[in-house]
Formats: sequence, C-alpha cells, structure tokens
Amino acid sequence: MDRRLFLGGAAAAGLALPGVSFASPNTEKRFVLIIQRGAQDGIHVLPPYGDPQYKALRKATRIPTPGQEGGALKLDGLFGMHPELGALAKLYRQKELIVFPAIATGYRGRSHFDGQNQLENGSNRPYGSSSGFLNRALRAMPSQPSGLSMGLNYPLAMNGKAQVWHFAPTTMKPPSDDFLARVEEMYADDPVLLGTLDAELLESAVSDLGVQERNGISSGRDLPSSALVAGRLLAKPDGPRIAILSSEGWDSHSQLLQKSLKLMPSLNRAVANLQTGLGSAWKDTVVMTVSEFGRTAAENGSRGSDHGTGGVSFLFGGAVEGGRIMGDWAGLRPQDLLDGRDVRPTVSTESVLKGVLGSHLGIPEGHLEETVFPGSRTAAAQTGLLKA
Amino acid sequence: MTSKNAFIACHRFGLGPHPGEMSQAAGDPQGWLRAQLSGPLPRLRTGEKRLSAADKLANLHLAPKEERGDIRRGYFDEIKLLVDDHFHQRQISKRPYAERLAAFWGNHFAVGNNSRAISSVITDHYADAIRPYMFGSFKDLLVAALTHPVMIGYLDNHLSFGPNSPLGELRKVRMNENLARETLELHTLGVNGGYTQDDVVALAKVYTGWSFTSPKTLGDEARYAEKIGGFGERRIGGGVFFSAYHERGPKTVLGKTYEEEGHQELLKVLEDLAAHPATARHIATKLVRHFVADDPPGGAVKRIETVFLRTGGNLPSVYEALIDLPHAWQQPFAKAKTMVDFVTAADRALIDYLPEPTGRSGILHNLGQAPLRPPSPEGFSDREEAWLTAAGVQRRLAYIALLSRKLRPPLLSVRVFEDTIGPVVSKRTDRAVFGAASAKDAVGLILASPEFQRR
Repeated sequence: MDRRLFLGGAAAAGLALPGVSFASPNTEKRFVLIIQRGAQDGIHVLPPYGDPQYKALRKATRIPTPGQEGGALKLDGLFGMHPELGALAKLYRQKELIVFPAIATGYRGRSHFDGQNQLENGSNRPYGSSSGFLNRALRAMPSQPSGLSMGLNYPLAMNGKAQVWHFAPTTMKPPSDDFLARVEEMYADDPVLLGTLDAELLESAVSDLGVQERNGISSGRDLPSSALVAGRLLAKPDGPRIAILSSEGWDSHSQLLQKSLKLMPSLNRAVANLQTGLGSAWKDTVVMTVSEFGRTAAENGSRGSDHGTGGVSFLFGGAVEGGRIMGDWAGLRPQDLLDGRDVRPTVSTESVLKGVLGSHLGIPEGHLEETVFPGSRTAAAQTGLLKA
Repeated sequence: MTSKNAFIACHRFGLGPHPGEMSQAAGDPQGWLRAQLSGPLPRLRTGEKRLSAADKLANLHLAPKEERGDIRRGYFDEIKLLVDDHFHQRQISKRPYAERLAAFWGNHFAVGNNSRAISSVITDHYADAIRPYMFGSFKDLLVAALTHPVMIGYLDNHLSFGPNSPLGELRKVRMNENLARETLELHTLGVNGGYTQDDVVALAKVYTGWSFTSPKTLGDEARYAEKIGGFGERRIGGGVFFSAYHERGPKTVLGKTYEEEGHQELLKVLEDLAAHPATARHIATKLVRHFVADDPPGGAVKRIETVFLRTGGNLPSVYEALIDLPHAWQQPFAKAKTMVDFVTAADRALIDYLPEPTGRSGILHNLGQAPLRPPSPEGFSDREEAWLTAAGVQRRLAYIALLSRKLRPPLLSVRVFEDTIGPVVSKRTDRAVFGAASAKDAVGLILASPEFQRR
C-alpha cells in the first residue's frame, strides 16, 4: 500500500528531492492548468440562452432558460452556466471567475492530436517542440519551482528539463530497497531510465483516499480526486507551483446530454476539491480550463456536435479579478460563424496564458515570448486578469 | 556482429527471445525474420466456431429482449477467451515479427471499448479485420478495418445519416464526421496529407449507410422500409450497408468526383486513398518509427515509402523492406519497449518458469496500456517519453517483483541472461546481475536492465 510520489521529467536525473535543493525561496504564486481533452462543447457548457439562434441550433441538446426547471445558471442577459456547474457559477458571483465564451488557440485545423500538441508544446504549431510550455515556464520563473503532473499518462505540456513531481499512486507492491539500489546502479549510464527512479514516499496527500480514488488518479479517470490531491501538494510550502490535470472524454460527437451526466458533475467537484485542497493557498492561485478547440455551433445528427473552433475557457482562483465575461460574442447566425459552422473566436488562449504566466508567476516578457511561447508574438499578453 | 544483430532481430523486430531463439537467429538474422512472413497468422481461438461481429450484433438485437442479457454475456466470455489466447500466442509464437506487425496494425486502426453498442464484439475487429488481412494489400486491410462494425461503432458512423438519403427525405437527419475525419487523418493520408474540411464532409457522405444491425436500424426498418421501398441492407465483407441511410448524389473527395453508387463509393474512395502518395509517406513514417527510431530517419522513410508505392501497397514487400533497412541494424537500444511488449518479452524469456499468461489485461491496465483502451483513436504512443516516465518505470519494476514471486524453481538465471541480453550487455548490467543475492533477483535485474527495457 505504498503511496509513492515520483519525480520525473525527461531529465530529472541528478536533481535533489523537493525541499532540499531550492536556491531561492519558493514563490507563493500557483497556477493550475486543466486540459479538457477531446474538445469541450462551449455552447453546452455556457449556453448563450439570450442568443436568438441558440434554440434552433440546439434542438435536442438545448439547456432550458434560466429560471425554468433544469435551467442554466444565469450569468448575464446572454450567457448561463450549465446547471451542473454550480461551483463555477458561485465563483463567478464571488468575482473569482472570468469566463471566455469564444476563445481558441492559434490552431485552426480540426485534429485533436495536432490541436492538443500545439496547445501543449507552445510553439504555435503542431510538433514544433518536444518540450512543453509549462515545463519551460517553470524554468523561466525566478524561483524555479517544481511542477506537478497527475496520473500515469505524462502530458506533453509538462515535458522537459524542469523538475516535475509525477504523481500516480499504485497498489502494486514495489520491489525491495536492495533491488532498487541495484537497478539504480545499472541505470547509471542511461539518464532517461535513471531519471525515473528518484522517488519519495508521500503519505499525507492521499492517506484518506480509498483504492478506487487512488486508481482513478493514476488512470486519469477521477478528476475530482486528482484535483483534491493536486491542491494539497500545491499548498505545501516546498511543494510544486504549476500543476496540470487532464480531463478526458469531451469528444461529444454523440449523446452530449448523456455524456454531460458524468462530465459536468466531475468538473464541478474538481473545482470545489481544488479549492478545498489548496486551503489558504487559494488566494494565490490561478486556474485555467482549456480545450484543443471548440465544436460546431449546431448539433449534429447524433445529439452531439462535431469539431469546431471557438470554445469556452474558465479562469478562476483567489488571485483572479473575476465576475466578468471577456471577449466579444460574434453571434450564431450563419454569417456570424467561422466558415458558416464554428463559433468565431475573439480571444486567444495563448494571450490569456501569457497574461497569467507573466503577471501572476512573474515570468519576464522576454522569456515568455522567446522560450515559453515562441512563435506567437501576435497574441499579446492579456492584461487586467488579476487582482491588483 | 552477428550477436548484436540477433539481439536486434529478436528484441527490435520480435517480441523478445525465447530460450535459444537468439542463437537460432544469429546465423542469418534477416533471413530468420523474412521466414516469418509466410502466410497468415494462426486464428485466435475461442473454443468454438465464431460468428462475425455483424452476425452477432444482428442475433443479439433480433433476439427477444429477455434473452439478450445471456447472449451478451456469451459474447463477453468469448472476448475473455480471445484476449487470453492473444497473450498466449504472443508468448509461444515462433513468428514474433509477424505478431508485432499484427499489433502494429491493431494500433494503427485502434478501436476502444467506449461504446456499449460494440463493446460485446470489440475483439472481433483485431481477430477478423486485422490479422487475416495483414499479409495482403494495404487497400484490402484498409477496407476490412474501416468497414468492420466495431470501427463503425467506435467512430460513430452508425449515428451518421445522409440528409438526402431515402430516409432523410422522410425525417430530418444529420451526418457525423468522426470516421471520415479519422480515416483521412489517422488511417490514410496523415494530418498534413493535403485534405480539407470539404473533403471530410464529402467522405462523411460517402460513409453514410455503413452501419450494423441495432435497435435503431430495426426500428427504422419497421417504420419506414415500406414507404421507401425496402431498406437496402446488405453484407459487404465483414461490414453492413443500408442504402436507406446513404446520401444521394455524386461526391467529390480530393478533387475526384464519385458518381452515386451505393456501397461501391466507399470501396472506390478507399482504393484511391490507399494508393495516394501521402498515405505511403504516412504509413512508412509510422512503420519506421515503430521499428527503427522515435524520430524516423528520412532516408529510411523514403525507402519504405518507395516500396509501398512501387508494389501498390503490397504489405509483405513492405515488411521485407523494413528488415532490409540498414538504419534498423545500427543502434541496438534506440527504442523503448512499450508496456505490452515488455510484458510479453518477460513471458517469452521466462516461458520455462511461468504458468500460462492469464490476467495480462489487468496487469496492463495497471501499467497504463490496457488492451482495448487506447487513449484515443490515434492509438497508443510509439515514443519513448510516453513509456519511460517515472511512474511508468516504477510500475515496470513493481511488475518484475510480482513476476519474480511466481517463477518456478530451479531457476537457471545464467541461461536466462545468455538467452536475452547476454550478447549486448554492458559492464554495469553484467556486474549487477552476477552480484545479485539470489537467482530470482538476478532474473529480476535482467528484466529491469536497460538492455531488456529497450530494443
């Protein structure tokens, strides 16, 4: 029943354990990225109930108007929040959440794999870099803190040379210390394999979670538990400062309403758990949800929607100047849509990320443009996202 | 250098050696691999004669409601037998290169267990649409893999209906682009293969009608068949086509117009896609990445691509060309073994000391490569960084510890050593293995060694 915390990253070899090696004091500022893989349907998550086209485009999957039974949670006269996303609606009312109703990365294709790759590698093109922008951001932060990756699948966004805690608890019994020591000796000339062995036992973060939750964190299928543990680890004084959580299953080509029965409560609980796990560190935290792209404005023939462009992101946390909906809404008439089918994006994901990484995590502009997000200079850092 | 080449033949092209396999391959490693390409692989057995997925789905949904639970359970039992036999074949196979190629195609045409509609027949895709077709032409493999009910269900084509189909004229219906897009992006041209969104839509139209018997098709048939003069259901190979759902009119894919011709349209488009130079490039790149290096050398890709085009996608010729690549025989440890190949390599190396490999699905679930659960239609990654993660390697070591406890004595660790990594072993590994406190530990260290983890 060992609960292991693994240090990883492609070249963590030779790095000391957390809490030992920091040259400068760890920053208080924290950032969490939640990647919703498969392309979240923005119109479903944030129904534009005030848009006259909405009803006609979403006949089978429409969410009732605010006030009606099962209706959206009203944000303003145009947008509501999906009824299962109460935690996010509450943050909006508490002015700790900014909604981006029509956001997109620089990617304009419709491939999940290229879209996610571009988002995560940060070079403004698919396969433009083999390291991830979050890993490069860690190295560009003045205090050079550790990162945190949850689950067995290691995301490209965290790949690179910076130290990353790779958290994937298992119920498999580890080999003896003696055996591990011999393996370590054997791996001395193989930096990749050697780098995977630095390990530290960490009981407190998961000791109250059952086998199911621990397996769920590892497999990436239990976003709420991952969020809780990530919050606790981020809260530690010598803990990581940038975390990534992957949420799977957003590719709703069919049966959107059925898929939402799981996805929405899971996202909602993850938001609440993250806040719980972070405790007083919440005030220093910014969280952003992103997807590789959005989906078509209209639903398709199978009560779902197909790959599109503009989608929805949420930016929230104690450090966010929230209670706002940012970016223009071009509308949903055929002539308003991109290529006659997609929500027209009016805000750049990279701009928002640059705004957060720059103002919140203190990464200098030169580093942001040259190493963290090379190739997206036209997407200027968004200002005014954070509390003064 | 024959010993190094035997190591490469058995580990890189094969599934990891059996006892004695490397000495057998050492005389002529290339010839040893070529000899494995003769004829189809054994069919995976399930204990009794199997029906096709199309028949099974029809039987299931035509049966009275109260019998469906039992039928479904029967299908799931069959899946279990098939998966166990799959791992058994991988352990005992004398044609490991062919088994690797089968697995490669299974992953290229990845299907997952995400839909209830097809979960009860999921393994039939690999057994019936991949394995029997991997020694023919790429085109035939492509048709079999993409028209099979499991692929249709996995990528939502059973939910795609032509707005101008016979049925669409009676009721408002829409298409679903998922299978069309992945066909172009993943299975044939590749993402930079030069297709547009219009091509995706046109191909989606071509695909309408390819489905399988389900409560929905039976309901539609009962309601509308008379009005539209028949439902037009027919079996085409392992697939099922319903003309009632098929979009009318000509369709233009990649600049070529295909006249309305029912199910023939898809077969013609797939034939053209299979012969497209971008497809040759895409498949060559993936094969070279799989067998040579994560970042495939351009020269090697070019050679495979050329053979693919010259032979019209004749797969055995392509497999032979892979063996003949000089790049494949240069760096003995350029690739990391994936989880499933590591598990099988251990099963083969320890075949004299282990019980039959059952329960490998559960183990692989823990190791992050559960069969029938690819992370996406792109399949499992073929790159080192996906597999040699901190958590991943720690679990490999935990699995080794688990396996060591099951080994039946007497254990001849020196033999295991010579039969797996002996010819290429580093001083460090040699020292660790021979300094081990017990034979079990020695075997554990052999499996954990960089030489065994890589290929």
